[in-house]
Amino acid sequence: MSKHILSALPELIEAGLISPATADEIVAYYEKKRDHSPNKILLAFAIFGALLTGLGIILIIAHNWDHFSQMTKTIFAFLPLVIGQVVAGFTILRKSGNMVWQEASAIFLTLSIGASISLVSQIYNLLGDLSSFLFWWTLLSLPLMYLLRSSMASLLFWCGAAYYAAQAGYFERGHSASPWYWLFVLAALPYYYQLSKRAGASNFANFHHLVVPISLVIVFGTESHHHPSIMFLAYMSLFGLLHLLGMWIKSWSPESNISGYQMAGKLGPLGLLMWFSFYSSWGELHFRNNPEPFWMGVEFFWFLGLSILFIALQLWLQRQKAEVSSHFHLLPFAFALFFFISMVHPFVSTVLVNLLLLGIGIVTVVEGSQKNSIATLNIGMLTLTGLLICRFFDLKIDFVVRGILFIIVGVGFFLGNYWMIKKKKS
Amino acid sequence: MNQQYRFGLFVLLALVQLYFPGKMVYDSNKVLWMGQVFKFETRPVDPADPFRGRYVALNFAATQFEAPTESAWQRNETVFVLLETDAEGYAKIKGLSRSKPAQQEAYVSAKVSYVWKNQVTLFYPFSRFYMEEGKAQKAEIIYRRVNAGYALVKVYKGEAVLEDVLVKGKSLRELAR
Repeated sequence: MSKHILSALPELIEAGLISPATADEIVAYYEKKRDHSPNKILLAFAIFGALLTGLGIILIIAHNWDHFSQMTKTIFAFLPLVIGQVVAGFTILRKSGNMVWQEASAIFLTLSIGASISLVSQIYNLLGDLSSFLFWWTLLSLPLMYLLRSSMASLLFWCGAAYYAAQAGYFERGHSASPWYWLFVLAALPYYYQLSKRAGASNFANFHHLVVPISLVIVFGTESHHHPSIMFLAYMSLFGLLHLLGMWIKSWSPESNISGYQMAGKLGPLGLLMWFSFYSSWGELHFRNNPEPFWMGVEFFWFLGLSILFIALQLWLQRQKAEVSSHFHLLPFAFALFFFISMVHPFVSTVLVNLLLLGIGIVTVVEGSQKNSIATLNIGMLTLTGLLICRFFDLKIDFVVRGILFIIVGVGFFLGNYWMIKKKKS
Repeated sequence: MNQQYRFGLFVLLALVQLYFPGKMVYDSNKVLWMGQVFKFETRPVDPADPFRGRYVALNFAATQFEAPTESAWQRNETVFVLLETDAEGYAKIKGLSRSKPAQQEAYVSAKVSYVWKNQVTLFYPFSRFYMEEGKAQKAEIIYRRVNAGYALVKVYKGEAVLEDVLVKGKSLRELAR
């Protein structure tokens, strides 16, 4: 873009549209801008280069070379790690502030830590669970984001921590990611916060805004122990909190793309409510057969803790006069109410959830049309359609009636969007 | 954070990063040099690990132990397995212990995989024999055909390192070549 403008300057001066002084100012502006922004293409190549080389080394190692002696293999195990460390050390001493070096060396070193541990356990036939391997790998690469000021190291760390926690919590019996995963999160948060403050509009920050909430939502389920039913409540509070956090980030970093938080904060509660719009879902919850009362379980503490955080953040944001008004923020409260009603009258809760979903659908459609937002309009329409589809599964409605209802909704979708586009154009 | 300080911290980190795989190498070699050899009768299958490549998973004959009393062994509990050799020269479980056995005993730590009445089934930490890609499957076929073999395991103060897997007295690595 800047090249086109710069090449057009002589023509513009000749045509008398701008003065030579203005042309000089334009040239100076672009030169200054070029100095400050790193070469994005070079940075992207460096990142992919380091990722591919690192992963390639892991694959070559996984081949397991029988021709080499144990000694040779052991030396090879340390080689990528030492090379990675030398390059990273050089970067700190000589290339400080050079993003290309920082990111590439951090990625390479992170991957070579894993390669080195893998190779040693392969040489000596050490078993070790996958989760403990991932744990040490993640832990040993944690300081890199701070020491090398690398956003890719931070992203890899968030992914690694989530992989570790999911592996330990969901797939390996007798293991738990608690409290290590949460300590990892605490350790990585300062970098994430600094990054969002420093470069809110950058791709790195936006990738974090996507990866962080998704990894939290995935891992949170591993906290379920003796009272899985209570996890639904806790999850609802987590969704609410993530939605608010997204708005909080937006309030001091308006250029951020917080779609990850929005997705968790909107689709999460809608999905849960859809699930609980079935009468049978409430029946599957069980509180009575457990020797430990549910309010003593760790799940209930999570629910309480997250709810307190959620309410506190909401009040604080309101005092800061940040724009937080959204009916989605009432959902955790409504859901908790239905949840406790269901302990006595599950049918009442089912009806209330259905009415709530219907209300959300209608309000969102109206909001979308008032704000001229096609996305909001379609979220509302999708809510209504989802509710309709769900009811088809458990209500005995005639096929013809179902067909007609689907046609009505389909035509509604079409007309709604068509009307909105027309309105926007005029 | 200034540059020197940052570099100093990085050097510390680099040492820790080297220490971790280094300790794995040192510990394994210690067992290989000082350990007592046991032959564990085996039955293999061939899976893969996303990071460490292909291996032959070993299923040992000596994994079950009839506990004398209804002692409350728990699933996933780590126990010390006291070893002895049977008449044919294979490893045999002599007993289980929660506390560290005496120095002169040969023992290895293992996990309780499940308990049924008095019968305790154990899971040893040396049940993977890593092999070159492509050879693991061949090794498994050879093994299935012969259906007899044993793992050479060095045992030292509770730690164990799997040295080799032998079929008819020959290394599985050589047979699969």
